[in-house]
Parts: sequence; structure tokens; C-alpha cells
Amino acid sequence: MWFSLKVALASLQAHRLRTLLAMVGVLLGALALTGVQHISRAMLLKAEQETAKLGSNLFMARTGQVAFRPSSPAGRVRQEATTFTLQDARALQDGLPSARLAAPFVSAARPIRFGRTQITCQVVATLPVYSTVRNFRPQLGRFLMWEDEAQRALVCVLGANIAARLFGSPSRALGQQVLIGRSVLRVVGVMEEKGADIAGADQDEQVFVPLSTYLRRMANQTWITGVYLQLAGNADIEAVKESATVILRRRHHIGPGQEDDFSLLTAADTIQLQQQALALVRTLGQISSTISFAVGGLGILSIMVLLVRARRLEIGVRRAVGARRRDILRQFLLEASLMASLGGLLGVILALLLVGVVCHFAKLPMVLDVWLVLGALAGSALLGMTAGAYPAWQAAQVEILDVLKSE
Amino acid sequence: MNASPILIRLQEITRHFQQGELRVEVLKGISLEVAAGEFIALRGTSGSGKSTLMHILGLLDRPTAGRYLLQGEDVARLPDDRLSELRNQMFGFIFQTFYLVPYITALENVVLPGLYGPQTGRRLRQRGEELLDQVGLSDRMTFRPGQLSGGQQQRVALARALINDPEVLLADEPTGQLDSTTSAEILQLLGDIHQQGRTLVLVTHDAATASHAQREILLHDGQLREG
Repeated sequence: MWFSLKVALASLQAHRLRTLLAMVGVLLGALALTGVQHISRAMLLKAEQETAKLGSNLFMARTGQVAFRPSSPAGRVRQEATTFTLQDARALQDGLPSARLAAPFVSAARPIRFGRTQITCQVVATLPVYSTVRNFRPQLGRFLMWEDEAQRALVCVLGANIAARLFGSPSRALGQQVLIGRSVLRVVGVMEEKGADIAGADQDEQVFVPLSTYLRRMANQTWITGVYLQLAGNADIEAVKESATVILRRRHHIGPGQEDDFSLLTAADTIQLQQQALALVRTLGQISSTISFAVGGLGILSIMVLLVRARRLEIGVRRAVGARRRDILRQFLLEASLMASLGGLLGVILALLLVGVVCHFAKLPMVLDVWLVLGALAGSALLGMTAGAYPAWQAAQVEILDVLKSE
Repeated sequence: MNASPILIRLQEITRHFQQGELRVEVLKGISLEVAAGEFIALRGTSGSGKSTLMHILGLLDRPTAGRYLLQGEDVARLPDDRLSELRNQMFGFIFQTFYLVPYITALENVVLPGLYGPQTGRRLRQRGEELLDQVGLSDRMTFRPGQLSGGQQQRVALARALINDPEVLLADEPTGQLDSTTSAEILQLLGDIHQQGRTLVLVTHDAATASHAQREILLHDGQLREG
């Protein structure tokens, strides 16, 4: 058995290029299957971990309608509106009996500049309570304080990445002046590293400023993006959503039959939406890996047919010295599945490396589904057997005399 | 000669080939007995049917009519798998053009028939090395056929023919592609193999080569003439 494996490898090696070609298809199939499944699973796991961290009692009301698209698991605002105000946020906090804390916020992409370096960040203008509501703390210096809010102070707290990119290290950022729009702000703190939040926004790319400073001194606007509400632990989320909808529709004078100009999101909702988006990604991954596997199977089929033709002498000799037809059949099936398994193995290894790199840079948790990996390998071997069936049968039909006479 | 049992008995063997409309009679009623331990030369010109006769003897081909008794057993009705088994265990083959598998080593070529027999891998390897040593190729075991001379390739083929310790050795023009010195060496080796007690059937067109045998049979136009 070991020896026939060695001979199989030697003969495959003799037709190296063809063998490699056949393996590439299977490799891509295994790569697509393992890669996409693992990454989408890591994303889900991350979302679940985030929710667990935030607690299931976080509730967000925001302007516009949020949709999740399959192209990206992060939420996208489908329709902006400028109708959400601080008064709405207050009305929600007062009108919902289970609301404990409220952190209204404005979120906007803005360039931030220090010296000659200018980069784009997500400015989040909010109240000091945001830190508690989102469970997000500074690693250095401090977060926004009530005095900042009252004085419309020109201060900001940088996300970890922003601090690193502008100053090289967080400690060098403290006390420095940065320019956002036309406002000069003093850095009073740097946030801990946190990665993407449940909505897909990278929290390390954010810069926090006092809400009043932003509304009065930086943007001169009255509307806000939305409000985070922390609910009591025993709150009935569905009931809260219903009351919130009633409050906001009345305040925004939305008549019956008209669409909401706001969105209400809970951590659970976000996960559900992400799951829907990821399901699509998963399906696409499955389709593409199926196609790749099919192409790989056809590749193995055609290359095995060529191999059998090129190796008629070997087949004739083997038959002459005592190989039964079924021995020849078995040999070529073994070679085909060997080829496919090797392709599958390389694909899986490549996929896991890729997943490792992606998870590392996207700060996703590492996942390894052993059954999926084994399944991809077994599938590859089976594919090889199936694709190799016809060529192997052809090989078994080779007549000894035809070979001996034609040489 | 009568002391040895009859190993092979051919009775009125004919073999026809269909070439389009044409029916070519290659063997026209061959009757022949081969005793165990004999060294027979089967001599004939090209087209006399000697290779076809060897193929039938070696169970590589089936006769159109006639009976072939191998150790008393009629092989005509045997299934394909049983013929494979008999080829594997009873016969060793040597061909004019060697028929070595080009992409595996000499040693791997030698043990190839063993893969379809009862011997274990380790034992096979050991036996293969012994045989290559016996034919003087102990330093060429890992060479591929393309790296060996014609004479060396035929020695590899000889070692391969002996790996399963067969009763009968069938050699079809074994020196046909070799120069006279190398031919003499191969014939010497074949003589040694016969001395060890094996039955040897040597197919050749050459009278000088045939003269090495104990018994010479002349094949002419598909019929035998004992010489």
C-alpha cells in the first residue's frame, strides 16, 4: 500500500504540470469554502461578544433608516434625515420608564490634523455618560467631563488608532492641539483599543468631542444623529421599541401610513441584521466554492483522461505482470483522489492562513471549525474519486496486447 | 526428459486476427508439450507467429481454438482475474524493448509484479535488491530506466521477471536490441536461471541465439517443425 502510493506519486510527478493544473481548481474550491465560512463565523462571534459586553439592554434610536447590505456586514444609513433633535433624545429618556441613562450623539466623518499630518476620523460628539453607556474607557488621560459640556470646551479624546497615527504613541498625544475643521482642540485623553462595534464602525478611529462644543462651535447645527439609551436590566425590549416609535412619530408629525424617519436598534437587532447579511455572504461563498469544486472536478477528469492515455505502456506492463483490471481501476482512483486531496489540503491551509491574517488585522476573534476543515478535505477526496471514476474505468479497459503491439 | 512432468500442453492451437474484412491466420494448429525445467528455443522468421505463440503461452492472449492445459488445467474458460493471477505467479516476462516504466526507479520496476502478489512490502524490497545484485546492478537501484544502457535495462527486466519466483520464464527476442557482447551476457544470465531449475522459453529469429537451448522448435508460417 505504501509502495503503490509512492509509485502513484512518482507517476504524478512525471506529469507535474498537468497535475498541478488539476489541483488548482480543487484548491480554490476548498479555499473559498473554508475561508468564507470561517471569516463569516468570526464576524458573528465578534458581534455576539460585543453584545455580551454591551449587555442586551442597550438601545439606540437614530435618525434615518439603517440597512444592512451583503457587501459589508456593517450597517449603512440608507436615508439621512435632519429631524432628530436633543429634545427627541430627552423625550425618549423621560417617556420611557425603563430608560436609565441616555447618551445623545452626533457622528460625522471629519479630517483631523496635527502638524502636517491629516487623516480622516469619525467625530463623535456626545456627553460624558457615553463612556458608561458604551462601556468604553480612556487608557490615558480622561474622557469628556460635564465641565467641558457646560463650557463648550475645545477638548477632544482620541481613539487609539488616531492617536497612534497622528502622534506615534498615545502618551505623546496628551496636551497637544489638533485641528478638526476650523476648530483647534486640546487632546485630554486617549481611548483604549476596542475594535469594531456591533454596527461595524471601528471605534479606534473615532474622536470624541463635547456635544455642545460640536453643535455650537464646530458645526452650528441643532439636529443630532441619535441617542444611546441604557435600559433597566428587566426591560421588555419590544415594549420599549413600541413606546419609542409612538413618541418619535408623534414628535415628528408622521401620519399613519407614512414611513419612519428614524431607526430603533437593539444589540439583538443588529446581530440579527448582521446574520441576515452574513447569510448572503455565506450563500455566495457556497456558490463560488461549488463552482470552483465543479471546475476542479472537470479539470481532474480531463487531466486523468490525458494521464491514462500517456501511461498506456505502464498500464499494459502492470496488466502483463499480474495486475487485475480492478487493481488498475483502484490505482487510478487513488491517484485522482490523492490529487484532489492534496489540492484540498493546500486550499484549506491557504484559507486558514488567510483567515488568520484577516482576523488579526480586522481584530476578529480566531475561529477554527475542525469539522468544516475535515469536511472540505473529505469532500476534496470524494470529488477526486468521482472525477477519476471514468478515466480509471478507461484505464482498466486497456488491452495488454494493444499496448505490446503498438510499442 | 520424460522424468519431468509436463507443465504446458498445447493441442491444435489456432489464432486468427481480423483485419477489417481480412481474416489473418497467424497460428494454424500448434501442438506442443513443455516439460518442467526445459530450456526451449522457439525460432522463426518475422511474421512466423512466434510472438503470438509466446503471448498465448504467457496468458497475455487467448487462442481462437484449441486447448491449452497449464499443469493439467484448461485455461480457456478461466476468468480474467484468474489469468492475471497465473501471469503473476507462474510466469516471468522479458521483452525485446524491455517495457520498463520510465518514471520509476529500477528497484521499483523490479518489485512491480510483487505488488499484485502475496509478498509483503518489506520482503519484496529485500528480494528486489537481491535480484538486482545478482544481475550486477546493485549500484544502479535508484536509477530510472532512461539513465541505464540497453543491457542494464534488460537486466532490470530480468530481475523483474524473477521477483515472484515464477515457474516459467518467457523471453521474446531478449537480445534483439542489444550488441553482441551484451547479448552474450544476457544469454549467460538466462542460462544461469535455467540452471536454477526454471523452465525457459526463448523466442528468437536467430539460430545462434537459439542454439543455447536444449531443444529448438522451428515455427514457420504458423506451423511447427521440431528441429
